[in-house]
Amino acid sequence: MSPKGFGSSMGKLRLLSVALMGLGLVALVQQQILLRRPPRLRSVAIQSIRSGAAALDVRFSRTMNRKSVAENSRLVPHQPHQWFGQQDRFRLLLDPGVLIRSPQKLVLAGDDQRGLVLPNRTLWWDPRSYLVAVVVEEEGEQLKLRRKDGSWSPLSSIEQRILQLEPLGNGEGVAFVTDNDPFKLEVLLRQLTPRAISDQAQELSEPFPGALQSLASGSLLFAHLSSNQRGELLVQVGGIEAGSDRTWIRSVNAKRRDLNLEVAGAIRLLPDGTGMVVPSYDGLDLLSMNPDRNGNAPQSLPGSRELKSFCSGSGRAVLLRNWPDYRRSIELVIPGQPPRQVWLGEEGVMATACDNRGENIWIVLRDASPTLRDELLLVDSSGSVLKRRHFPGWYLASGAVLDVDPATNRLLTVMTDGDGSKRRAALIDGSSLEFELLKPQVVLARWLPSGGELDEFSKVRR
Amino acid sequence: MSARLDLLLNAVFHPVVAIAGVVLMVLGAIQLRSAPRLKTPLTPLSWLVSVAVALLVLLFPPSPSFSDLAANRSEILPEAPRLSFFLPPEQRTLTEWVRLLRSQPDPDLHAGDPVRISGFVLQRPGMQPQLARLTVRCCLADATPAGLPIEWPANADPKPDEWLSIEGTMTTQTKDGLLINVVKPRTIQSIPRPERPLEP
Repeated sequence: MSPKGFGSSMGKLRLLSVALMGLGLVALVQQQILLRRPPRLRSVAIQSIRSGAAALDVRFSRTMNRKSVAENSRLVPHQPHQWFGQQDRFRLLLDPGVLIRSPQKLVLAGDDQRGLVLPNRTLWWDPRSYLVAVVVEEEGEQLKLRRKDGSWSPLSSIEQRILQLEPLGNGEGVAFVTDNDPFKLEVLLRQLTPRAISDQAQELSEPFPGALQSLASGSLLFAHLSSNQRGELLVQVGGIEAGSDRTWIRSVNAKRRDLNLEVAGAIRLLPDGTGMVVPSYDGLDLLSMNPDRNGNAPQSLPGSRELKSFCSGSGRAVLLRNWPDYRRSIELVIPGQPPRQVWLGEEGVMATACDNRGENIWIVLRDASPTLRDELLLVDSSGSVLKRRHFPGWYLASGAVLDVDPATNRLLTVMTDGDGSKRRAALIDGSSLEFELLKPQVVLARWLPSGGELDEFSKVRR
Repeated sequence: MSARLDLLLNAVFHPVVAIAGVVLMVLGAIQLRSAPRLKTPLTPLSWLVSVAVALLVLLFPPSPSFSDLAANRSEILPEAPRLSFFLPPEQRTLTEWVRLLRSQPDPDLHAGDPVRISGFVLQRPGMQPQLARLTVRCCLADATPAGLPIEWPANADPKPDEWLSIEGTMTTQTKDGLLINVVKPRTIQSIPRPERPLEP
């Protein structure tokens, strides 16, 4: 090799060495910066599947010390709560029975596993559900949302009749069925942007109304809706012609998936989003969310049973069983156990509800002799009656459901007076069973769960 | 055939191993055929050592201690191939239970559910033995333990690596001030190691 060529090779080698050293230095600097960088809050989301009054899922940028997060974070006003989870995902769970009367301020603090301190983050969170109702107006009926100050905000135009109301379980919309012409129903969805969690106190507000979308319309004889806590919506419609029944699921991202099912009634989605309860001619079938593709045989519960209420996401439910001797019983179903009878009698069962774990079950009974009378029972999971009360002069409206808001422990239903001229939304305290009737004339009323997620603390994700 | 590969590798990768084995055998046969023409003859010693090692592995197959392996691994589970908890509680495998408890860390939600699981006894230093499974993406090298705390009855003597089948109930207990899910066994039965002990 000539001296010139040797010199050129040496130069290249030197250049390569310098480049490698430079890269190594960059890597070292980057490593040292990352080592010293404090942990960050990545996302906070309202969790609707919970055993307590309310829950928040909190995600950090790295593995955190749970004990430190629990000790240093605080809720204002203070509510009994616990922190669960591990690594970078934690859940803040407010104890069952906690009553939330105002928005919560949450100050998040704590150390990561290396002892680096999370810069304090303050969030505002209102886990209380909103009341949505079909309000009677002079020209017809209108879907409205009740603000926290008691005023009402319209969510639809005035329709001739609104037959069903189904809030999405993630709080991001309300589906409803209108009936403006004979045999012509329309299924509509008012999309909403929840504002129940924010990093600014003043931005905490009722859901912001979005687009109104028509999901089905035309010559329809019936339409039925059901939603789960993920925000998926099941739509069942059928017309006059044989075989015109259609059933599909609208996913959270608005995709439609048709279901090919033979059913004997209204399908209900399980609250946790893992399946659906389908009435069959022999009882109730539990199917997965993908019954066409999943080869699993359905789980069946035989007998003349009706699904009355789900106990949130715990997998428990309350069923009504009709006996051949015209008696009726209320059963609590716990996964893996035979149904547990909590009430048996001859009265009509108008509506039921249960708390997250099925430990409190509310039953509205109707006795027609000697006079028509409705009674609300509060029973525990073993069937002991904890409380009972009558509603003198008021009756549960036909088709009204009993809806629970775990954050405030209040039941919501619709009641009518003796001659049916007054029809009011009723708020019932879940413990004392004291009730309050709201002013406007309503047809239907349901709780719209609070929802929302803060991602990188810059925007509310839809 | 003897299911030894199942101890080391996810079943999905078994065809890859089989194909690689066939390719290597073909290459070996080609090399053997052309050996007389090679300038540098094959060293008999290296051949002998290779054959001896192969025979030793066949005669004394590896018997890895899952407990020792699991005790030294991080517990960050890989994503489940299909996250569906539609299964009734008593049909969930141990790994499905662990994934569910991590995705829904709310012990009271699961209290009272029936449990029917099987796994090996995982003994971590200074801790109560757990019932565990190893989850793998590929092979033992990336194995991650998924363990459930068990409320062992007073007369139980769980030994590390022992395979057990447990039927019982999911309960809650407060440990170090934190509410956690613990399996309360109704029956504990010793079982042979399953043919495919690793879970995806």
